[in-house]
Amino acid sequence: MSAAVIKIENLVKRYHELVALDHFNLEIKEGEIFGLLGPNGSGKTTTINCILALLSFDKGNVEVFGEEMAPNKYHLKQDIGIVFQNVAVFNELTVYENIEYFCGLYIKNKQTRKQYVEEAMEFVGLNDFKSFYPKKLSGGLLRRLNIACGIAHKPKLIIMDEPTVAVDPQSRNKILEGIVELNKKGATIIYTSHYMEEVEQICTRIAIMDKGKNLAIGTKEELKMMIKTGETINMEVLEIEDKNLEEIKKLPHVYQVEYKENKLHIKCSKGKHNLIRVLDYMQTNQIAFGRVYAELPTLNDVFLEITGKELRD
Amino acid sequence: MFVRLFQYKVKRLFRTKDELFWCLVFPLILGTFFYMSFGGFQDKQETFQAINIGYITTETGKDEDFDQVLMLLSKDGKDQIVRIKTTKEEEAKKLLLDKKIAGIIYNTLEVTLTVNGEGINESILNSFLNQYIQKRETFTKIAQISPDKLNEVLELEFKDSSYLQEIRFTNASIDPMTSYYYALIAMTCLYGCFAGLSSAIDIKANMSTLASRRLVAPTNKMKIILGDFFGAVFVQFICTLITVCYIIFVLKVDMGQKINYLMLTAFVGSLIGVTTGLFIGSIGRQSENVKSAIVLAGTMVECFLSGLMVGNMKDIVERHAPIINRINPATLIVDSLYSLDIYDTYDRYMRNMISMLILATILCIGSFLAIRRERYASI
Amino acid sequence: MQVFKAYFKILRDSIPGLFIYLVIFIAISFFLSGSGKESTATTFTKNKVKIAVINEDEGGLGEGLKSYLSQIHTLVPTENDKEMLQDQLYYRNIEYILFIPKDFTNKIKNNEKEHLCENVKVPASYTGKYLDSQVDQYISTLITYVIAGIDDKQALEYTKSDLEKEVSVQLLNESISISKADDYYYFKYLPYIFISVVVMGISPILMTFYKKEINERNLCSPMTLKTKSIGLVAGSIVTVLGIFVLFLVFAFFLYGKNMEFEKTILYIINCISFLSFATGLGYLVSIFSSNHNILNMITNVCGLGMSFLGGIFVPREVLGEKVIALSKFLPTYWYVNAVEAIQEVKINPSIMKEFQINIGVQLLFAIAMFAIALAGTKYKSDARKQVS
Repeated sequence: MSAAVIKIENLVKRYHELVALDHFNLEIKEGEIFGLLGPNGSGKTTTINCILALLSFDKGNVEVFGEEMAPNKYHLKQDIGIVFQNVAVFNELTVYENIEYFCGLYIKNKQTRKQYVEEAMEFVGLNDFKSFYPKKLSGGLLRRLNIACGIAHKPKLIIMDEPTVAVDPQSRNKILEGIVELNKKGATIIYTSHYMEEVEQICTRIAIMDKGKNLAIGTKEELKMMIKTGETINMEVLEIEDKNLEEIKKLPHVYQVEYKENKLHIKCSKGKHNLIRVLDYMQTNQIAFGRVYAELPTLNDVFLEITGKELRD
Repeated sequence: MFVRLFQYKVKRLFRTKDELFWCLVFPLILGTFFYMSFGGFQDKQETFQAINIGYITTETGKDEDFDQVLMLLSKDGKDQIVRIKTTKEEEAKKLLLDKKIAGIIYNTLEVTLTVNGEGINESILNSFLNQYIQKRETFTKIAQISPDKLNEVLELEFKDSSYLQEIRFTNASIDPMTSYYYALIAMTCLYGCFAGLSSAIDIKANMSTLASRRLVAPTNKMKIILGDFFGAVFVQFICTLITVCYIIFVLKVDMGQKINYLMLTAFVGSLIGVTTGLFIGSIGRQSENVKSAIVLAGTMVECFLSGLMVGNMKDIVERHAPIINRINPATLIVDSLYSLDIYDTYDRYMRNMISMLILATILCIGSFLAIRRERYASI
Repeated sequence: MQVFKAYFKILRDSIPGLFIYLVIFIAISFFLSGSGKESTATTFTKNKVKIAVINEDEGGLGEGLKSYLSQIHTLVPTENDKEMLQDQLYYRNIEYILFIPKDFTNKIKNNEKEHLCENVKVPASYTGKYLDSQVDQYISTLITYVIAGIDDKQALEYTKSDLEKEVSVQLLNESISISKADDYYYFKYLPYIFISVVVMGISPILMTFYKKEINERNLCSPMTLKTKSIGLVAGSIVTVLGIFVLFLVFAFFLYGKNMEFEKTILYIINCISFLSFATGLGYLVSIFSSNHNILNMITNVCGLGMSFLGGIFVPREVLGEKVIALSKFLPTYWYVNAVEAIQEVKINPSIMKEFQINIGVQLLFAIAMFAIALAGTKYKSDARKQVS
């Protein structure tokens, strides 16, 4: 693919005793929607603050657009847009003025700026709220304003730090659609979240991080390939003997069998015809079963397998 | 760019209710309190209220002339000075005890005064009696030495003449309560600390996400801070001018002739107010609430020491700890205004202004050093 | 009990902030009581003023005036240098400058009566007026003698001896102390401090309880409004008493030597009455203000307003009649009245009645505050009205 937009090498950041980033590496290419996935406190925001040169770090380097990032690299900052986790807008300025203010920090030309601000408002759907003060906006609308302030200047790189926290599903979908649209228009996007569904839905490549480490990286398919589980077969079984469970486990590709609360979970590694084999076995042994469904692995499974804990804790 | 940042800061401040209250509404309310409290003072001086007294006299041995003078002075009308409430001793004593009268004048063998404590009315009675006795002494002497001239001097006595001419080194005319209004102006200027504080917080990434957002923009940090800073000074200056106008035009307090210097002081005062807030905001990592409590309490103390609550506080400080007066911004502002009244030259005024500018510069440099840090250890 | 306990748990968090306030206000009260003493014009005890007399008179009369003034005041020797005089005036090394011009004697002899001398005084000072009247009296007496044809030397002597005559002033009662005791000023200024410290001390905590979410949560519990209010009021009272004891201890520390038992008891009664009002005010404010900033605003406006208009910062005599009429609607007026009465009580026991009235009115104010506050709580507890 094309050149690296962000390149992080061996980044180490300590807060006293706590190691927030532990030799973290990351490379993001142009045109990607890159998902940074990890539980709360895993170092996502720290990573972003380091990329933006807001935080000092102990070791490593950060390159943006092929250049080392520093607080005074204004030509680099020009092309970055950031949507912070917390809503950061001026309460005393209206929706329009807020976007205009932040856009104005990037775009000097008055005409262009005006046009950009209009476009940004259109984009997040805040046209009807142009002269509202942020206090009067609902949570979802406020988030959208927060986003508009970050992207109005049409940056090449957009960093979004959990932009959908505490947002109603409608607004969330609107935001996600918007992100894809921005990407189509040519922006590279970094998207952090601890909602796997979102990341799965829109990201082209994903990094999973925990405790400041980059645990796995790749497209969602690649990530799912990395783990053992190919598919999980769930069936409702009223009664089954331990002997049968042992036998199921011996079927090809099956590596874990669990029976609880009248449900049988069979985890299989990659391979074909897993389901048919299991169904065959059930029929031959005359075990009655109800609803059967197979699940492909989710990012949660990936995360669970890599870190040994659920993502959303 | 700078102009735009400046404009936005001004816009924001004028839309902040807290800011407007402290910098605009509060000074006007306080000024009105002053006016209500001291307004009566001038009325009292101009329309003199007759003092209630008890007058005890005996038929024998009394000073007839005094009797006449007193009757004249207690006659109802515009020139009434005393009002005789009683001529019975027992009643008079009772009234005096309850402070219903200011004093009892005895005209028996000699003229004496009995009071119950001290106060303005008591002292007026005292000096009135002193004058009478001294005059009586003088006329008695003249009557003995050159009785032929007595009529001439008595005539003179009834002519009002002003022997003394008050001159001032300046042509300002101020009334006793002006110092309160000076302190009020100082307070208004120093409330710039709130705007300064918010400017600092809006540029410290470790205090607000807003600051982070502004810092990641390709605009120089100094430019942002200067835009905010001058916006804050400008708003503060406007607020102070409104307060000054209110004092001069609505409350009709004479603020002297040197309005342009008054404005300069208001400007430098606003500057120092904003830098104080900027400094407090820049150093340390206390929460915004703690910081605004600190600046509010600090400003109140500064103003208190410059005479906002008690007019002569500045003089007391001057006597006991003059150094405080040299560095307390509120006192420096009051002194600048005050020196315009005392001096016809501007040396002293300039010295105060320079002290303020030095103070502002130190605070500014301190703040900039604290803010200058480009990356934060933690956010 | 639950509420009462919670009250102190919250108070514990705000102690550092409250402590800063207490220290500042104790310092202020110390300064205030000191300044009250200094600012009062002492009438019967003559105080010497630092003055400068620039005598350029070519005749002898000017010298007479100068030596007269030097006897009753402190004469600071100075040059006739404007810069220097201005500096001296600025730093209050001198408070009054009298210029006796070259033709002073001549003018008097020629029967001229206007502008014989010039003076400069500290702007806006009482001492200036005091000296003016002395100089006026001197010159007018002197002129009288000169016109009467008495020679200069004799005239000066007569003038001096005449001006030494003064009316004899008696005090109604032996035990009246002419100047007010230090504790008078201390207690007179306390209401300002009390309003500030009490409101800042209890309101933030009460506000926490009346915050919409917490209030609603409490309303869902089986605790009755009465129980809750009692808990809060009890918590507030304990806090306020704590603050009061602190200021009382400070008063004893400073003025303990001079304070008589009876006076002290009356001071305490007066303070407690006023504190009940302040507590009520704090309670009321906390119900109707939504954040600390509003609290700050109300405290400052109420504290300063009541102090200026009620005659705490400014002597009652200075206030206009209309303001005094208005100030009767402020508890501070009655507090100050009571403090004045306390000064008299020893020589005039009948004033106790007035004292009682003053206390009564303050308590009425307190009751009014609590009544409004309780009505407010009731209103707030009716959740239906809260939905907006």
